Amino acid sequence: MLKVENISVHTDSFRLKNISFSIAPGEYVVLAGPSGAGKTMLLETLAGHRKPKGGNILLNDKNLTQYSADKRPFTLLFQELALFPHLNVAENIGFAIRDKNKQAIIKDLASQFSITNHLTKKIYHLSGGEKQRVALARALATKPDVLLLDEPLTSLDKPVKNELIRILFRLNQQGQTIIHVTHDVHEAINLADKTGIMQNGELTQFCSPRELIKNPGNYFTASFLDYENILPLNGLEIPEKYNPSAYAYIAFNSKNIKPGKQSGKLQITGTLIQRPSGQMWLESALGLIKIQEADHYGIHDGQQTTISIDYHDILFLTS
Amino acid sequence: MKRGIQQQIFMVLSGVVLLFLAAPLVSLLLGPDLSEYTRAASDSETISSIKTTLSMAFMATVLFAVPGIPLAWLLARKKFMLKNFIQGMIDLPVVIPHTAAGIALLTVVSPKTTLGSTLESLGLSFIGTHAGIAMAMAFVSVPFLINAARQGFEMIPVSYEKTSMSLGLSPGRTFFKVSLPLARHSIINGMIMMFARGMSEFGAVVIIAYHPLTIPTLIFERFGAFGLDHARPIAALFVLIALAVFILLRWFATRKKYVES
Repeated sequence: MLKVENISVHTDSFRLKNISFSIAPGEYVVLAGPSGAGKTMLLETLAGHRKPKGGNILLNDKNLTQYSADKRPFTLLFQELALFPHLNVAENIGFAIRDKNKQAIIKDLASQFSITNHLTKKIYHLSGGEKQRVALARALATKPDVLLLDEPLTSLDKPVKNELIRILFRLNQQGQTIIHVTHDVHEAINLADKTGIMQNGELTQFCSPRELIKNPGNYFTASFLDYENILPLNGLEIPEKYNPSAYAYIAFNSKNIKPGKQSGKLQITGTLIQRPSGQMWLESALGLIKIQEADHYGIHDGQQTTISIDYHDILFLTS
Repeated sequence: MKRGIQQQIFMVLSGVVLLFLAAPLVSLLLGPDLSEYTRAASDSETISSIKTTLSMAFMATVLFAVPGIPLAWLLARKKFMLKNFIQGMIDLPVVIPHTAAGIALLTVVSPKTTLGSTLESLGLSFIGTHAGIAMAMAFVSVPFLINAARQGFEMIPVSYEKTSMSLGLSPGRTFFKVSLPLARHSIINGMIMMFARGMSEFGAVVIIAYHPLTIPTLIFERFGAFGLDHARPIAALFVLIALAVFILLRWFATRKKYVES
């Protein structure tokens, strides 16, 4: 069990504030957040490349906080992979292996990652996907308790990305604990057992992907989760049973919007705007609302109309 | 294709600089005839001076690479107090008059100083010795090595070193297995520059150790005592040797580069 307790890191320009979460062995955790949220800084802190100002990192109740990077049973795989250009593939994989069966281990990993034919090649002769596999093989050669991945799927071609997702799934199925940071929330939802959302150096949520989608909680997470419409609550008449005073925003998707006035539902009136693509927007006093295609409405660009949304399809969000 | 006016002006200006650089060297090399070259090459004092110059420049380079390369790494990788001051201090020997550098060294290692007398009692004297020549050469040329190595280390993405440590290698092993091989090209370039600058040093060397003679001192001595005709063949011979050494070292350094796009 990995426990991260109140980890804080201070630099001249950024602060990571009281990050806490725990991960069971074999779990796949994805920490998502926009650029500058502190994801890589957190990974580097877990890996031992940054000294926290406060807090603890415990693995199976052993406190690793003061351990240097080379003493921690974690391996960090950077986004740029950092494959050593002065070594060939086999030398990269075997870089940190001190076992007397080093060559056998290299061959085994090469076979596992389908890079046996590339073992004598220099790194700059490999394709993007091959480099990813070599980097993973090298990272796993040391049998880390936790594999730390910094944006592993970013800027990869679709086929390479899909292949890597399968590899990561397989590794996790084999029991490898993984912490993966990304700015792509879909990666978080699709891959993770648990998902964390990071914002401005804070871990604002940490739960299962299902819980996250069901209840994003605040404006930031909802916008990060691609909710199509997030509107300020001000000026809307919401029944008291939904406790509107506790929230600042509502979120809903266009598929839940019904044309016309329907009693017992939230009603918003505005002017329809139709884009050449067929996409429709409703310009309301609350802002632009993305709605479904024009056929549902039977009215045209520039006409006034009212839409209705069932309160059960609305998420209430804090600011 | 018609060249633009700007390109034509640049070519003329470039020609002026190249002529300025090439004319004295070509004139120097073409001046002596073959017999003068042969005489210079068989002169025992010249041969001894060449040996002294090359060997001491080599010694200075190798000896000061040992502490200079770790210093370069620290400057490239770490933040510490007085870092800018230290960087300025490293650059200083390049910009001060080299006779002043020789005087500065003398104030430290002269037998009249505590350090100098102590070292002399231990059998290490710098005044008028090979050790003094190597020290004077090192003083004015080590900035070339440190700066080149520092730039080499700075060019390596930090993620390589972090990855090595994350894979379980200690910082020391990471330095030898990752940082040093990846900065090798810059370090060797720096060593070549240090060696070249060291062997051409006159000002600091002549203050610390007029004898044993190095080639620059011998040229100065022959010119002062016998005039241009006696100094020129030695100077020409040394330029040829320097050129050969430089080409050889450059070839060695560029044989294999670790370049990752």
